[in-house]
Amino acid sequence: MSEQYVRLIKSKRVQICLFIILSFIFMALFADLISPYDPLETDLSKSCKPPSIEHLLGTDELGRDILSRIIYGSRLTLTISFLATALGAVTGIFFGVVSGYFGGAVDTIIQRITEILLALPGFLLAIMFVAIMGSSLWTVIISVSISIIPSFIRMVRGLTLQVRELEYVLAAKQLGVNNVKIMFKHIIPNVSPTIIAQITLNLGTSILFASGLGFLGIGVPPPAPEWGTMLGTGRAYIFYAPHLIISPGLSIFLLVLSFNIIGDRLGEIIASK
Amino acid sequence: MEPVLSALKYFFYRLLTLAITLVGLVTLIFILIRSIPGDPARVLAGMMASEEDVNLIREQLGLNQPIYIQYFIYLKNLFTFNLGVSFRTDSPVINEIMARLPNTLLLAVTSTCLAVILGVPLGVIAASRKGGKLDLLLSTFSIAGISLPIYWLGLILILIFSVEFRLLPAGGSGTPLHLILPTVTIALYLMAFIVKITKASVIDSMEKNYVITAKSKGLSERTILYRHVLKNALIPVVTIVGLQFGALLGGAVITETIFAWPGLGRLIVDSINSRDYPMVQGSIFIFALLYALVNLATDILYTLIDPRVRLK
Amino acid sequence: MHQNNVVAEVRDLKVHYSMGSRTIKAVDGIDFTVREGDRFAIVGESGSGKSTLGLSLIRLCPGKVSGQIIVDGVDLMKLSEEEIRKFRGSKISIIFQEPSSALNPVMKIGDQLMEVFTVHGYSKSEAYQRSLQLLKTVGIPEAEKRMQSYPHQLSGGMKQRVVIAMAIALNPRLVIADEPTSALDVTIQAQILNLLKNLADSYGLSTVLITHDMGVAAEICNRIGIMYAGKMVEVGELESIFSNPMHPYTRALMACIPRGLKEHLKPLSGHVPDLSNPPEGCRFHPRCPYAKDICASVEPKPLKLDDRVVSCHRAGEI
Repeated sequence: MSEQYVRLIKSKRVQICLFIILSFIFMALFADLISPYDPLETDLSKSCKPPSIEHLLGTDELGRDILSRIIYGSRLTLTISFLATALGAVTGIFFGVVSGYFGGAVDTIIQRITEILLALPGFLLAIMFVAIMGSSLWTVIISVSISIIPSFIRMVRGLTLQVRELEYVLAAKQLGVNNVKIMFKHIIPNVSPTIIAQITLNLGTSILFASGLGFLGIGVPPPAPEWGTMLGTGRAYIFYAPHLIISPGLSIFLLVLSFNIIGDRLGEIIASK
Repeated sequence: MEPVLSALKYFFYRLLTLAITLVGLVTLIFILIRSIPGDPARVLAGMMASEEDVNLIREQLGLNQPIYIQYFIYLKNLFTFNLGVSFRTDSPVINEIMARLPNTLLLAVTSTCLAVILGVPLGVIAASRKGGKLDLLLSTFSIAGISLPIYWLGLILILIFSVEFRLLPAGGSGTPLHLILPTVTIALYLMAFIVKITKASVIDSMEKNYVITAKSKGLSERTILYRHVLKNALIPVVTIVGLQFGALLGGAVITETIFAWPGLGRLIVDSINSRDYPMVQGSIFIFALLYALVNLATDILYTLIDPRVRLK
Repeated sequence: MHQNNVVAEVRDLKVHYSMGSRTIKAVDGIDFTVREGDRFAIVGESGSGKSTLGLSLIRLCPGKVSGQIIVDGVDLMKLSEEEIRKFRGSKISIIFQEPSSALNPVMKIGDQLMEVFTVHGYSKSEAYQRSLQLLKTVGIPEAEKRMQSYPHQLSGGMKQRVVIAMAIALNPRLVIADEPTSALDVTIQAQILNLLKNLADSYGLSTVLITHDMGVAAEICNRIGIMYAGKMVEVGELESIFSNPMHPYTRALMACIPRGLKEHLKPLSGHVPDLSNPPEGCRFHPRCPYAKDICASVEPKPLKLDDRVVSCHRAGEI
């Protein structure tokens, strides 16, 4: 199993992507140290200034330094992404395994709920939850995580069904090993690489969703330097201050692209076995 | 006669499941609203609302009645398409939605067509020239396209075509010109998926044994591609396009916002921002219905084109 | 009974393909001849290279092929891709092991069958008539209905009959059957083998039957070639080889066939060699009970001995 990860890391493309991701993580962790300005400090006299030596990425409509906002924004984006994906994955995996392993009524109930969650396309589901719960950092995280739960449930359930019938699992059952142990020791390790690939792809998706909500003005509320929100507010100034929208969008793109390439490559490696 | 009957049976069965799922969804909304701490009427009215507004909402939504009556009325209303009256405009929600819906559909259909017409052939080419430069280019385009936030893509296109070159309008509707940028934005995004899935599907089909059999009969690679492979390979593509159409409706929200396109998606966002709760609920319901119908249509289409799945 | 015209001649056929840094020599210098009306069995274990051989005869195998494959006087190795396509289906055809995957699941049986004709110049109506007739010939009932059926609507045996029909459609000079019954139920196997035998007889088809099963070979073939690790170790008339196997490997194979309840099976020890790194000298020598020093260093050349060709240093002695 670990040889797949070794192959993954050997790929040049993957290395570049890992570097990009790590750079953003670094930015997020050391924001206080490397950020040139306070991301929340406004100065209306400097509104919408193009990139210059003092402000490498320019300033936004309230005179705030964009580079600082991007740096602190990485903290927000990565936090939302990791938390939402973690929440969604853990919940989805749990219910997926339970659903697939126990079958019967449990399975049916979980499947029906999943279908309800799939009644709306992912992003719309997130919008709906945010609409009801109001916009805050936590509601965004929860909404996004709910949108990604169904894909995990479906995937893990399918994998569990496959593994459940494998001989050594049946043997373990015969020997009286209790169900929970079987689920953890036997089933989950086998489905790991596929799950990791899906998690990686969802890290990207959650960023797109969260910043999408921000763009629409219903995400993490201002003055938080969330990249999507920056794009949303910057949009009004596109005609005379285009630099407002370039860096936030580019950051989102680079991060999501990196996650997608890694997830994709991992998927290829798994399939080529 | 037989196959038609069973197809109809299947169709109605699916409609039933669809209805049940929708009921589940609206029930979920119902429960959510009422489980948020605090007075639901106040929650829906928002923090800026006056006491008067809150009471109005309470009455309108029947929030002062016992819960099971509320639920019953709620369901009855939704399924008779009595979606209430907008807080903002005081006119029936359903009218507003029906006015906007065709615009969203227009956008969705044109972008899907464009994406399919361009994307499928590109995917086939990428598969047949696997490993070549064109393939590499298309693969990069594919994965970049999937990773690109639609809103950014839209904004960049506006930047290029509206700001720099002043070729196309940046928003609004009315002329065919207004349709171009939003359609292209969505189409590019959709194309990224389509190219990827078409290529994968064609490659997968080309490795199957029936291709070797076809070769052993003396057919050329080209004939095999068109006559044997495509029929097989396009089946999963159809499914994906159908699924993506649904996701596209989600993306419509964003695209319509960027380009000020008067569609259902933008209506949802505006209503959320103005706390027009009946409008939000009504539009989401219609969206879910639409999405479910598209999925159903895709399913039925799938049974029509794959003889293995055809109901006996 | 058999005319002596040679239909196909294979000389020094080699198929090598590279996997990473290794070169797998699946077929490493094979000679044999198929005369008109022959039913020639190529027998070997899995890993002997026999399936690659089958595909290479119709030039559909991956990898580097060298040597000569002369069918009806034409060396297929010297033909361009376009010219070879004219040969395929009409002069030489192949029947595969898995009928389920050999047929296109979304195309009607009739269309797939008619294709063989239309690709080689027949009109659609002619193709239809002939296809219909073919289905009847291979024993498929309700032929008209079946023309409109899809593969998944037919049983395994039926599907294989269709595949056979496609292979014999244009009365090819050479039909290759690669394990045609291995994927079928035992009861159906006998039917299909009988069908092949009857068709070969009625149409005077020259067949190469590739199989791992001696019993299948004995059932319908008149000549046999034993393959081991990419080489042909013994070639000749089937009855003669069966009653008097000369090559130690052939002997070991014979010993593996249950003949009555009293004889116990003598399994062969060891395993088939790695085709990217075969043993020095005679490839069989590590497992051979009769091996001498020379067997480990010098590769035995095919020798004409009595009525057969044998590649063994000690043939005739033992």
